[in-house]
Amino acid sequence: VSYPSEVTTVLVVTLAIIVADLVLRTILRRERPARKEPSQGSPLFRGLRLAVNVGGVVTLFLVASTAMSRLMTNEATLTGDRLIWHVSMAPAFAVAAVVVAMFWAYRNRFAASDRRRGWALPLRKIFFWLSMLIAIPTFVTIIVAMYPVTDTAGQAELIELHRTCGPLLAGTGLLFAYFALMTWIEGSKD
Amino acid sequence: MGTRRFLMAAALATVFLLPAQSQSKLGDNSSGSRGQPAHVIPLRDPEGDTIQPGDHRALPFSSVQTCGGECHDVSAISRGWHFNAQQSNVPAGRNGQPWLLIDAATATQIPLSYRAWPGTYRPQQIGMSEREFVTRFGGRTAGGFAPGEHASEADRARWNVSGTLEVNCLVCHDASPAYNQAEYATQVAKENFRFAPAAASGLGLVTGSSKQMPDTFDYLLPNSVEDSLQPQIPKVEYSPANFLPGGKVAFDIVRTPKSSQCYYCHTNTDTEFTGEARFKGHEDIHLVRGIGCNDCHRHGLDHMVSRGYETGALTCEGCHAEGNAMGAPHPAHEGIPPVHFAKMTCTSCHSGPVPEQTTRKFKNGMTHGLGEFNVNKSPDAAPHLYYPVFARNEQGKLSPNRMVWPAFWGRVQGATVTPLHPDQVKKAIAKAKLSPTATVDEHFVESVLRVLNEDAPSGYIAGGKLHRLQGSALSAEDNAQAQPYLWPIAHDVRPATQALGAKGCQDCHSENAAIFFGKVAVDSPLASDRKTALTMAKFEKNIDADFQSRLAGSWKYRGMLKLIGLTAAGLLVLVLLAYVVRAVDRLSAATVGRAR
Repeated sequence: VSYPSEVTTVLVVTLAIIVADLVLRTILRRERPARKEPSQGSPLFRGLRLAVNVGGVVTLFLVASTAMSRLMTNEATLTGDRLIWHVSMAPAFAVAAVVVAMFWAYRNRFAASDRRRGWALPLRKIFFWLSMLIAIPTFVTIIVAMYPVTDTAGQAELIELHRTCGPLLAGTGLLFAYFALMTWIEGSKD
Repeated sequence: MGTRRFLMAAALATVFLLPAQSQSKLGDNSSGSRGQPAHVIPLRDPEGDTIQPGDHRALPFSSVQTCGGECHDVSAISRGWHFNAQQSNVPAGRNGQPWLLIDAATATQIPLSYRAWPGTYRPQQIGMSEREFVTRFGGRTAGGFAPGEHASEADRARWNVSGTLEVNCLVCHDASPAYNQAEYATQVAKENFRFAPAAASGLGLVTGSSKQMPDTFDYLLPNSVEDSLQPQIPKVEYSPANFLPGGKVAFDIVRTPKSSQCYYCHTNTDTEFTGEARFKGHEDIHLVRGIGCNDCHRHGLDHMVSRGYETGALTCEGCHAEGNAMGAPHPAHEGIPPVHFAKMTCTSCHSGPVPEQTTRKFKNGMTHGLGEFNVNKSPDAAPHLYYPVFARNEQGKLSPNRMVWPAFWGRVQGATVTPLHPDQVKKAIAKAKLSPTATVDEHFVESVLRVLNEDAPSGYIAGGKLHRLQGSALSAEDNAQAQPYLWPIAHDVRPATQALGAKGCQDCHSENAAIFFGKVAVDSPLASDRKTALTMAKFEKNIDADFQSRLAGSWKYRGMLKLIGLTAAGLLVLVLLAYVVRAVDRLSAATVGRAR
């Protein structure tokens, strides 16, 4: 069983581009602060949304970074304490994923007007639904692998699927977070 | 003497020195018949002459001459695992069961082997001659012993008296109910080496003892000894009833020995299942299913019996994974992550007893002389052997092992301890004015070491420690040679339903799982050693016991993890479905020109 390095490479490059872009935008924003729309909803929901967004990003980062730590040790599989950390973070991430889905699904409905509002909004929506879609096999494959329902080869395939879906989920999740940030910076109402 | 030497050399050459001249003989070149060939053959004595029922002072028959004269290439056979330990050009192979030199008076328990297994000692290293080795252990072998090149003149003289312990084909291949390996062992103990096969076969009655004969005894001229020794002259009397017309004998020879014949030497029995509780013991699943030892442990003429390694034909993987020899089921191992197969041997989960909170004791046919006359049947009879102990094997995989703690006296030079023969220690015991039957305790060890130290710095290894005198006080220190000797468990194999993990992951991943946290008994005559608390993790190099403990702790939340994971996946499916349904609805509305 080999780890899909192409997927990992894409993830790492994506992360690097996002970070570089965010740094650049932060510098530019200092010079020309974006115009912000008045906040929507009650202060309670605004606070809750912020907590959900931050929680989603933090748990995604933790669960992805513990999984990726294997790359630094050059081990064939994720084992030892890093596996325990990864597994410990996973329930929090799963809960966060569901809550993020509840908070963002309505706002990410596709509309005909999306095309007229730049790239960030439609890309945000695309990556949101992609990450929701990929989260399902990511969760299901590893949970099913914990049950005695498949033979060793089947289980190896399930774990391999989890390993493939995991970085894709991390990538799409980060891109969703990135474009969500972009649309927020641009002052989008959605 | 010259004649005897010539005959001895000829016999040795027959057994050991002629492998290059191996040639296919009558019985070695199979026609392909699956029937059992009749073995109606003449008995031949060590000189190669035929033995007749009416012979005056008949000689013992020689298995090498009888079986090898015309039919079987004994020189090729003698290179097999059962006979080749003494041969220097044979690979040692994986650590195996050692011979154990036991001496109660000196509390000695030394693992010996002619093979270079780390943790064992060659008999020569403790001053044990081949003859002494054969006398002690030869009765539980298939023969194949002769004086080594370093044998002393005195030793060679005794070999002339006893004869060599030839390769004894009958140990495995004689299926006659009259064949008695216990009788063989008795004759070997009397140094009646050349008489042992005849006595064991039941064809002849052997009396006398070569051990009682002087160095000048010549078995061809037996009456040359003084009168007082005449009753002890070794001799054999054949029963005429065993001879067919024509002077031949019908052997009940089988090509494939019964498993019960292997068991004479290769028995491992849990001490709990000896005595009246014998019926409670278990059997290897292969034997239960009708697969005998020889079905897997096969060999050709060279008798290099295939050993139970993990991979290769007729091994665990050979039958159960790569093929399905003998209808071996292919295991699914449902729910067991593949990493287990990279880090553990098949035997970890399937062989030996299920590990418990403390190691168990077992007895062994070769070390305890099980099946011999007057054997000590006590569960505490020495040597004390323990199992299962989980440790890393040469491939770095975790595997279950059998274990013995070495205990011996020795000369100490740096960190090296050179073992002393118990006879040397007994002299020191006498000099220390200790009773030969005294209990070996701290005081005993101190007293003996004081005497031994007069000649050279000495120590006593037991319970995993090297005990030495520091001033007048006894001290214990770690020493590599004090570590227990381990050899892998292959049998008894347990089926899937009784394997580790059959009850779930927590068979191993629990906070008190025996495979990591089970206690390993420390065997030592010294009470201070026996108090040492050891767990399996000590032997499982690179195993982080603390991590295993943390991992086991995390298992408590595994159910919650599964519940959250599946619930989250389910909710995400619902969210997706909800919006997919809305999207389909909008798409459908758009087809009729209506916007939703």
